Amino acid sequence: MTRITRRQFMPVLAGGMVAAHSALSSRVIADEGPIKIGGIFPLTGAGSVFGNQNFQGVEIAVDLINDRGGLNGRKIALFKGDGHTPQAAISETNRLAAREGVRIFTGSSTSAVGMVASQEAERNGAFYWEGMAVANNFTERGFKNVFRVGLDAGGLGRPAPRYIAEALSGLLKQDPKAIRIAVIAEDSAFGVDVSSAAIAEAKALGITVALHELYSAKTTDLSPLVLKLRSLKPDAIVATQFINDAVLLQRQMKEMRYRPPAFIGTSAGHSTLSFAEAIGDDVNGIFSSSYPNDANPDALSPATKADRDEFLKRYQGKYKVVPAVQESLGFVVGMSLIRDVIGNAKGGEAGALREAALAADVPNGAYINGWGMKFDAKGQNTRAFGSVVQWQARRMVSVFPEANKLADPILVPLPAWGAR
Amino acid sequence: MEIYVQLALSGLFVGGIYALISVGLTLVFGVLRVVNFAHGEYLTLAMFLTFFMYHLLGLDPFVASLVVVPILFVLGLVTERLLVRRTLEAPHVVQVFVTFALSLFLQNLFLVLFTSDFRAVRAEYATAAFEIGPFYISWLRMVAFAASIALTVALAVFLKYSYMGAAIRATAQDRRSARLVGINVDRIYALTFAIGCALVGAAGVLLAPLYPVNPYTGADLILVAFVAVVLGGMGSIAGATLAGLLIGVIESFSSYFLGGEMKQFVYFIVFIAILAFRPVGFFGRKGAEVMDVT
Repeated sequence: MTRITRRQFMPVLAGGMVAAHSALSSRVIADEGPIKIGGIFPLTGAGSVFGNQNFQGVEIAVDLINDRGGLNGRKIALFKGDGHTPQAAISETNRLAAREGVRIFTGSSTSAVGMVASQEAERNGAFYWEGMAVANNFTERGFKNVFRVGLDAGGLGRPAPRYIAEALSGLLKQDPKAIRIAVIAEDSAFGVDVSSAAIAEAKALGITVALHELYSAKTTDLSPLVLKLRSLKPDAIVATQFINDAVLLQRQMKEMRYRPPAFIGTSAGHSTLSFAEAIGDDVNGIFSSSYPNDANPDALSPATKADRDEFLKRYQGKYKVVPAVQESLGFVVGMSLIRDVIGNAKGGEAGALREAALAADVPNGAYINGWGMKFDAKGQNTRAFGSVVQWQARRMVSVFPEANKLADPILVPLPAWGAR
Repeated sequence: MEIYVQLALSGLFVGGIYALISVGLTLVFGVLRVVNFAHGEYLTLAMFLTFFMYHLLGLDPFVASLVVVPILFVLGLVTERLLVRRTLEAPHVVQVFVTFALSLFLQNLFLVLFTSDFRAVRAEYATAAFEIGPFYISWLRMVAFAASIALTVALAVFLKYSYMGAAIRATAQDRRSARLVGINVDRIYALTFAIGCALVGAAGVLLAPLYPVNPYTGADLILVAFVAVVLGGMGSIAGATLAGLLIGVIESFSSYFLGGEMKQFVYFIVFIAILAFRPVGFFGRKGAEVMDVT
């Protein structure tokens, strides 16, 4: 039997005391110095593309607010926590809470990370602000200080069938009730939740769902699925895919000379630049229902318009690329949290932030993607809405809803491969 | 009827690549008795090299193979010399730790160097296809399949008819006797490991135009190769090839008739069923997994 000697035990005890002391003292000094925000995102590993883009958006919001003088003279300090796996998200959340004294967290870009990071934040008595995790049960866990300013899975999946019924059926010269769609999705919780929401909405609109097929995103061959689609001849395909499987499906459809009259992705793969780079001009005409990429500037308030210009300028200056969906969402996450919740709260504790969040009544068009902010009792933003973008000349252009529309849809029905 | 033929073709084409990945793995196991858990990372590396040569130098993947495959061969020599050789006499767990650690190290090295973005070689011919009657056949997939089979056959011929091949086989059968008759066993190990890496390098070149690569691509694909190696009989090249092709065809049919999410389920059921009746796999020898004492 191993005995823990006093010599082994003392450092542990001392370490614990130091940690406890720093946690306590940080609370005492929480009203001075910078306002600390911990960002828990997958910054390395499989989810890091979205994680980094999201984080960069938040960072631009923090920089902008700091350069404008901060909040009541106090600067914002953004701490990085690399939640590359759920386990890492747990330890990073606890590390930032204990060692840096962070009482406000944001995240997370994937549901797997967001679910645990928010749980740890709540356990630490901190405040948690989610952007991109869409799991339907995120706000169903009875947590007090956990809010989601972004969409749930339904918000991501519903616009696709709605757009088919409202706009595409006309262009396809079909009655909405005569439209048949095929719904395909990768088989993680993301694909299952989003595609199920799309199917429920399609059925409510009277659209026939001819196929609901799930597959693993790690697959190397989707040709059996293409064969199935070819024999079913749907009027439109609604697909929930990540990046490589989205690319693979397009390439194999091209190989087998099959094209549907319309193709609508429901994220995440279809609204990334990697997708367009991989398939070139064949991307043109493909729709993606997603977070709003860009609002129509005319629908924004003058202050928001200024934010938007500043965001685009700063982002392109820093990263040399045009920001896409994840980046602008990150900016909205940062602005809504810092300016409209922390800025209006009577104190830095979770309870005060919760009251400020529940009291927030920000009209649509106040954020650069067209959103506003009003929470339901469970902490879900009811003024977040999904939108539809279309790839036109290899750029994503908002086509739906009306408030975000920048151009009319083109290339419906889809022209042949190589002719887009 | 047409659909069955089309499904079989799709399955065989994918299976050809599975086979090529598996052959290198089974060869290394057969001779060195080391399971190389980093095999998938060499595949990833070959795909990245192909991507960068295409992207930065404008080299076609098939031209790039003339550079990538030798690079992988040399890396195989280096890995064997610096890491694997030191573990050959050690217990199996040590070998597992070393190659597994190498796998993790390489994954994270790729992350640092290349980030986790997906990179795709966008060759003009990547999606070119031709029709024979009602069937659609992708040029690239067909060429990849043909190259995989040709390389596997070339390897088998090399092992069967060349002097070096005979020495490799002798070492695989009994390393002590091989040493007694004057074979430089250490050199055979190095060469075999390098050939295994070169083969997976060739597979990477063939895969690069078909499939986007990120640091985890190899790890995702290698599971199939492990199944193929065990199913074919550990150390058997013919077995790994047959098993690779079989898995491709099973995947193709099961994802059409049962749905895409069922394909792994189906091939693992087949895997378990075959091993229940024939625990050594298709062409395995009993006791192949036992290391003979040198």
